[in-house]
Amino acid sequence: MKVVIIEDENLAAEKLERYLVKYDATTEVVTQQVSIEGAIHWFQNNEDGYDVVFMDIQLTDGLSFEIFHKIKINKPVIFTTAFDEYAIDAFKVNSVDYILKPITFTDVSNAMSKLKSMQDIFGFAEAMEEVEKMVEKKKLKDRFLVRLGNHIHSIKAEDITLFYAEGRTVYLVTTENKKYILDYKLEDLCELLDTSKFYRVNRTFIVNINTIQDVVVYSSNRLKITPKVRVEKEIIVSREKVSAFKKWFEGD
Amino acid sequence: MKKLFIHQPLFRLLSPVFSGVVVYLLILLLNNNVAQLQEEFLSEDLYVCIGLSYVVQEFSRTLLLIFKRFTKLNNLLFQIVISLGLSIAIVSVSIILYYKYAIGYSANNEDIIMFSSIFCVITLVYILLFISHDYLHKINSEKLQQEELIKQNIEDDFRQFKKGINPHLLFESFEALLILIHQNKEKTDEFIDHLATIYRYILSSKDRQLVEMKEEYINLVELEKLFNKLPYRAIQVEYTVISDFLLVPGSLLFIIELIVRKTIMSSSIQLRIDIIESEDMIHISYKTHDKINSKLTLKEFEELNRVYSIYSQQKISVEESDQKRIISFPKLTTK
Repeated sequence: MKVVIIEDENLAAEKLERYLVKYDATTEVVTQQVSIEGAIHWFQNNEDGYDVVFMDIQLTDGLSFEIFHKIKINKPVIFTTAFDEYAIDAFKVNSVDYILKPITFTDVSNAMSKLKSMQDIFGFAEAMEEVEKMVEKKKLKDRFLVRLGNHIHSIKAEDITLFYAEGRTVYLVTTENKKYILDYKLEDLCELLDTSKFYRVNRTFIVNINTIQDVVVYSSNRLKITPKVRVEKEIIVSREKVSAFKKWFEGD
Repeated sequence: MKKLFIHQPLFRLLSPVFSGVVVYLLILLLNNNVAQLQEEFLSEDLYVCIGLSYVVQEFSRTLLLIFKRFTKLNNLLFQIVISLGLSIAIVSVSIILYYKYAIGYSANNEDIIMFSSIFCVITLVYILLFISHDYLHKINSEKLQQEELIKQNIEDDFRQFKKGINPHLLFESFEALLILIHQNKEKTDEFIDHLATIYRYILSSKDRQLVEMKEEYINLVELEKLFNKLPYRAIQVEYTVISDFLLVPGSLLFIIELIVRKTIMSSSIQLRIDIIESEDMIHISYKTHDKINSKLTLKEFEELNRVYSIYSQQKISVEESDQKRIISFPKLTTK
């Protein structure tokens, strides 16, 4: 079997080659390309000189999906990726195989076995497009686990009015004005939440756009937010965030 | 800045002297009688002024403390009006009594108004001094609190970072790798695979609240394999859990690593760790052979207990009996 490896890390490429040969001694790596440009150039000149492509997603000059925009690859593609499990869902639903880095021999042998049995479904352009979209789309947290008595409940992000920090503890307040402790920092939540719905207005609060009842001008060019639930502290949009808050509040 | 300076004994003792002298000079000025200074500066009137200043300031101070204690009365205008009113009353009564008993004739209204006005100003200055300093104190205290919080957050971040990176395991593995790489390339690959799988799991699960026990166990197997490839380590994990439940990511790995680090190890004597389950708890048991200078205590589980307290009322427990230690932590289930 003739294999093309598109990988910008030499050690990873060497390891993959070693495992491929270990799996099947007749395997031959015809080329190793380290960049998108190099890969496009090689595929243009060698349309049929290979059987399968092992492709790293993130190369030094961009995402390897760009290769599919420039040329058509009609051979099976197995992605090697260091993306987390969320992105991997994309590959699952589209029946394109993947190997999660760091590559292990078991992963390689499983992928090769799968390749043999499912060759006909690899390489569809539509599937590639779908994968690309899903990989680029950041997975957001839409539910939070909280304790109620000795039970754990799952709360939808849309049912959350706000998050706030008190000292080092972060609380979640629901639309029913119930308060729960979370094991996250506000900084982490900013990364995990849908930024079109949630906004960090100051060092203490992250508010949900749908649960804001009123916004009034406050002293020193700041804004005061009144949520639909009763909150002990005043929610003041800090001066440096007022402009960004207005843009966010206005929506698209 | 721990105490407002108006509460300092030295300030309380000296400031009435200063303000008393000022009041005395003002009264002389108002009476067009400055020449008296050349005759006798330390007159009885001066002592009266100092005494009155002392009474007014101490009274204002007490009143401010009362206002501060009762938040309902904590209105600036109300405080000023009440303090001024009561100061006028005290000064007026004092002057009437002084004139009647010390000088021997009744005080006229002009004198009472003059004294009251001057002491009103003294009281006002005193209140404003108190309020401004109290405000400054509050601002500084808030700043200090924020600084303290930032410091704690940085320390917390560092602890979390250290926990995620686990430098002890990382460097120990790298050292073993440096030896292994010259001996057996195949085993080196396996070793890196175990190490990388564990770190991928630790780092990727940091944004997740809970994980399934099965997932944690898969990574525990990798940790077991990794430990068995490290020098002076031989561990065997017996896992008999069959039910499905959730746990805080990395908690099982943390406990097993803690056991390994706190136990005297030898490649010739295998450390057997049993993981069993009861209705609502997971129990990890092993034969104790603690290191001399680093024993396993419940204190090691403080952070883990904090995280578990978010999801469960049950706490992590450590029991010891018959050379055996059992660490138990709660099974978490969603409703």
